[in-house]
Amino acid sequence: MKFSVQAWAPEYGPTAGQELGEGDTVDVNPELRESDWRPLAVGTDPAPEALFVDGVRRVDANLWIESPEGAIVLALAASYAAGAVLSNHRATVIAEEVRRGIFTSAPNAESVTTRYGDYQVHLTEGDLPEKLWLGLQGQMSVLEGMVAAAHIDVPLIVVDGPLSHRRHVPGAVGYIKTQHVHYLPEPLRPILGRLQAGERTPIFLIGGGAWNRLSWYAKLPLKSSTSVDGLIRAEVAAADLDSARRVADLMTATILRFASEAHKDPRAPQNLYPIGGLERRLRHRLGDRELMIRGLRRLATS
Amino acid sequence: MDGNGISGPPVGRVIGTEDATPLEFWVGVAPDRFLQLDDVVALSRPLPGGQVVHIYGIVAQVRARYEGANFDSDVFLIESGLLPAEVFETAQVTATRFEPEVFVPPRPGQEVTVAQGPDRDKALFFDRMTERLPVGLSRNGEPLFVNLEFLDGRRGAHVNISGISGVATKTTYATFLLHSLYNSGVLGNRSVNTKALIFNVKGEDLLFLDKPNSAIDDEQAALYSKLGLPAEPFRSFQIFAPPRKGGDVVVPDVASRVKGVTPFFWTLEEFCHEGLLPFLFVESEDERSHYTMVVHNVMVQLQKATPIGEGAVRVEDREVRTFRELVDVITFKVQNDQEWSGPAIGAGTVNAFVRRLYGAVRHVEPLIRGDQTAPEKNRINLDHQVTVVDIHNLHDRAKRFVVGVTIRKAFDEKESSGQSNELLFLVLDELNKYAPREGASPIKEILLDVAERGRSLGVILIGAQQTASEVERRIIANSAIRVVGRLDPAEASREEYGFLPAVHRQRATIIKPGTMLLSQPELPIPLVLEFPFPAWATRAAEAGKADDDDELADPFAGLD
Repeated sequence: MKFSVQAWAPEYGPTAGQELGEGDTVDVNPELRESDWRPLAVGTDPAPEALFVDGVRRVDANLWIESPEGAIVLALAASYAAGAVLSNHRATVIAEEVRRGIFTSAPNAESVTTRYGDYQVHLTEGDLPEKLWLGLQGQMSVLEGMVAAAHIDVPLIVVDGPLSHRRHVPGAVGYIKTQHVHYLPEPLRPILGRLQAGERTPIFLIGGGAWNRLSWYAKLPLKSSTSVDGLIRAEVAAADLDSARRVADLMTATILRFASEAHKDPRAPQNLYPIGGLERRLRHRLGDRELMIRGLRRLATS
Repeated sequence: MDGNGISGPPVGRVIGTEDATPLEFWVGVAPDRFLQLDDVVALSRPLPGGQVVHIYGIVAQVRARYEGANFDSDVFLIESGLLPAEVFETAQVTATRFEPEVFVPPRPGQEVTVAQGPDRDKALFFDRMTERLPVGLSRNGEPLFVNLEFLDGRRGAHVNISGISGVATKTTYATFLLHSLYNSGVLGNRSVNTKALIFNVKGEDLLFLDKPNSAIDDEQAALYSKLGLPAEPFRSFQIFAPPRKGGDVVVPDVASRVKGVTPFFWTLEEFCHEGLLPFLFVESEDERSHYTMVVHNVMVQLQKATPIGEGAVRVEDREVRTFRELVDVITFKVQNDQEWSGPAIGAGTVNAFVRRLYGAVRHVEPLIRGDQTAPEKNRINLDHQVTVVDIHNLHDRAKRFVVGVTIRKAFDEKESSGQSNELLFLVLDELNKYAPREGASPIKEILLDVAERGRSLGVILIGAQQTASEVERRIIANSAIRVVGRLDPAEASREEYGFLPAVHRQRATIIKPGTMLLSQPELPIPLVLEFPFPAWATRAAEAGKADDDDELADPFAGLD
């Protein structure tokens, strides 16, 4: 495979993951009728043990792969990792997986072995940068799913971000920190403003797309005056309502103590402490980007 | 390890996040292992070309940190199970030796092992010491040595011990060194004629060196056997103590021991003929005064004194039997005779001399006399291996007189015999009093002589003081072996302790009695050692019961 390395500006900022897609519908009635909607206080005890799953990704370089016919196709050389923190009386990183991949639609792309790591080829559906990114995102989610699936005996599994690829992990709760999309109809939105820490909204169903999810909003405590929001959304794969309700209560009660403070995490309080710590650790495990570029360059020129 | 000649349990790897240099490097300690201060480690570094360099070192510092924590307050998050983090320990190693001497740094990632047996000996240069003197035990109970060549004058000499009184156990360690010298066999047949002269400057704790310590238990005895030493007191031992003041009968002035103590004094004849007068004028104020001239003139005149038996003298027709009488004669003479005072000496200078001289009378009167029959049996001698001269009850002026005269005499005898093979050890605490940094005095000159020429004559000074910064630099500089016990924090930061790395200076402020830092020329880092509890009694209570009865049986011993 003949390729060249372009190291500058490989970071784009496409929104990660799957939010409200086209054709998705929202049904607010599964738990309470729309007219009865109100903040629900949760009386459940926090889970004694919780698993937090997260992943990180980094584009190391843009590659230009030359096809046999002489055409040039864009590829991303990226490193990504997924891990899990088991938090009971201690927070312990119990799994860490690091992978590197070349994301491209070039049919002649081959895996490469650099001095510092192996890049496996993952073919994408198109050669637009967004498609390449989705490919990377997808692989990372698959890795997260793998990590989470190995520890399903924990009473609460919190997966950072929408469930999407992780939806097959039994009992996993998707944890969405930032609210870009309005799921609730206009008249119900003021309830979100009235939520207090430890309260959640009734469960609503997001359906109509590839798969159905049961979702709710919850509120984290604002530990300092600079935190303004504290609103998070969570989702589980739609099964029966009762088990969804149990998970919703358990999760709303459990995450309170993990809420971070603004001076320690810019995304406080939504970026929970174990997830912040795990992300730092995983990012470190990705290795030094300059070194990875050096490894790729060496192969490109040889 | 790696089949490169260093064997021992692996304990960690060289880290690359701190610089690894030939002199100093950091070792990441494996999760299930630990390293502590003073542990000896080793590693092998292969060079391109196949040569292998063995690097040895001592752990100088160990640190533990959270990895994954950004803020100090993260500790609470981590300990309450909110934030994941790992505890990791790293040890800083100071390299002691390269074999062969290719000064390359160890490479990050290389395996480090605990040095044991022959590797440890190499790391601490013990393998090169043909005559090695046990000086204590390491924290893990292995013997530590000093190269005798740096003590007996061949390549170096003298020991200097610093430390706070009471906590640093300076004199105890000095006597332990003597015990080791005599009993380890390192001196061979020289040990028979090797002598030690100890000045007991404080308390009466050196008066029982020949009594077994009743407080010694099996555990302590085991430490002695680890060092290859017997747990027993000194065998060939004698004590000299000054006579009690007043009275014509000479009785040693000690409270805790009666038997085996010989009172000592000098006769007036010795005082006059051997020129001992200057040793009464040894304080710094004496040095600055004009009357040093008078002292010298009087000394010359006194040498003309005629002995009349029993140590008494006749000076210019006057019979003199006590020191007071001698002072009267001197006073009369210097005030009336230019021959005695010296030419063109003013009355003021003469009076200053007389005042100083009279000031000494009360303190040294019992020590200089001509009123005893057979005074030669009260002369300090070195007939035994260990001789203790007790001066703790004396006034400062008298202490200086005794120390100055005794050392001078011992040194002169050694000089005239020219026998450097048989060693003489002088043990003197409170060196700052006898050889202070500022000023000059006859005693300081003698001690300097010992420090600078004693090496070739076989006179070895084991000096001690609370603060080395107050002692003449050249004496410290000439000491090949330097020992430090507990130090005052302000003192520990002074340049006199430059031989201690920063960590050891810090440690010197907290070490407990019985622990010492010892620096010797061959090792770039001081050894931290512990020495066993003395096998000899250090006070009457430890001297054992049987012996008390023995003493009670003869309450009049020494009254002969």
